Amino acid sequence: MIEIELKKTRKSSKHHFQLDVNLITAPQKIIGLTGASGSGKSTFFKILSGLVRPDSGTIKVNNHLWCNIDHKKYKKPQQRSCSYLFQEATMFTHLTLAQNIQFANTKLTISEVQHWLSKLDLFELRNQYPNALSGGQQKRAALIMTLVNPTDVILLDEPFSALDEEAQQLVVKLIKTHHQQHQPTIFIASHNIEILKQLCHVTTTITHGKLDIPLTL
Amino acid sequence: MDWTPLLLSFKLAFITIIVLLGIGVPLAYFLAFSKSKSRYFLEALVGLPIVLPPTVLGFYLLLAFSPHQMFGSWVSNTIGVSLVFSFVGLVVASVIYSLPFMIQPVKNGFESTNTSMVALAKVLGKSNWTIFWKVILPNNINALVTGAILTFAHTLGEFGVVLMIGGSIPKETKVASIAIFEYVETLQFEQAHRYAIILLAISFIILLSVQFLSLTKKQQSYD
Repeated sequence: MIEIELKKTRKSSKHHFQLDVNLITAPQKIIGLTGASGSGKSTFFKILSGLVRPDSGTIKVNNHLWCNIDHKKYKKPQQRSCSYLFQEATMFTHLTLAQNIQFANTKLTISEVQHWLSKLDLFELRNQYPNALSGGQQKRAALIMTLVNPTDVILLDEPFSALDEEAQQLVVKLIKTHHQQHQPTIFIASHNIEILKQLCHVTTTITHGKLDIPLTL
Repeated sequence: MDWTPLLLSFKLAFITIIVLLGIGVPLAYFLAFSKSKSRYFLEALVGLPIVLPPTVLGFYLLLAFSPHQMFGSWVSNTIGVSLVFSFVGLVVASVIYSLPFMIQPVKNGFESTNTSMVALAKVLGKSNWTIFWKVILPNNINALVTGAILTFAHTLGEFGVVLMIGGSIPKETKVASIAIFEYVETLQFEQAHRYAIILLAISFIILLSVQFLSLTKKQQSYD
């Protein structure tokens, strides 16, 4: 079971933003999140991964308490079984594509790294550095880095942006296969409603930081 | 031409760089990432050699290194070497007065490390130790080299502190800058010129290397 109840306020000179999430769901679902830019999707992911601390609330995943602000319990990102594809598809710029995958999961053998790269049509680029890759290629490579460590929760922030239709379908297929094999709970933030419908058990919208998903999911 | 003062200067500079890489990198990391308020105090302390007249720094180091003072006597009793008028004393003084020249570029490099890469390493489950060695350090090689080059140049050119701590003992503390001073004092300009032109050429090459390094870094960030 995934139980999330949290609040986070961000004040700046330009605007005041409040994230307010109430979410209880069975595990192993694929949940799509839509919403306008700045609605709080990425902030929600950052809090879930442990990169940003909420002001209040609780996060419980499969009976593991990740965060309870009232009781001063807080697991660092390293202590959470959670992978995260950043919106900007971050990679390590001093490492080649293959070295990035290897660094993401140091237990992988060279042939396993090559196998992963082939899945998203990146094998030929294995010795290239991230700066030499296009936005779409970086996105696919960063997705592989997210999936090579099987975790309870996977957060994918705009995994289909910068991809052509063919690459989008490859990514959809990879996410589906990964979900069937490892059964994680996957959150996907995207503006591409069509793909979310195709991939997710449920799709919901964050509006001005407010996300409410009932127990019935 | 007696090459000993120049060789002694190079030896002093290299040892200072090695010691400062050991001390300076963790210190720069602390100054760049610590949220402790003590870092402001420490940063001001580390930066002192930049603004202090070398004679002031030399004077206080001379007092501290004296075998009649607590620190000097402790070092003398522990390792059996006096820090005053000795090469070891010159190394310790050199490490202190060159500290900001190593710390500043390395700290600036650490601070400008891509935060997304550090965040990514965290969500990949990497420990802070691994993040430092495998992400932060490899992305700051230029900063480390710049720090080492500036330390080298500064150690090579320092005069006031060296004179006060080391004096001018041939083959022990008489480095190139001291030799130049003594030749000028005794009006042996040709001898002074030989050392001076070598230091001038080295300093220019060093500054050129720093420029080249910063150019390489800019090009990398535009790629």
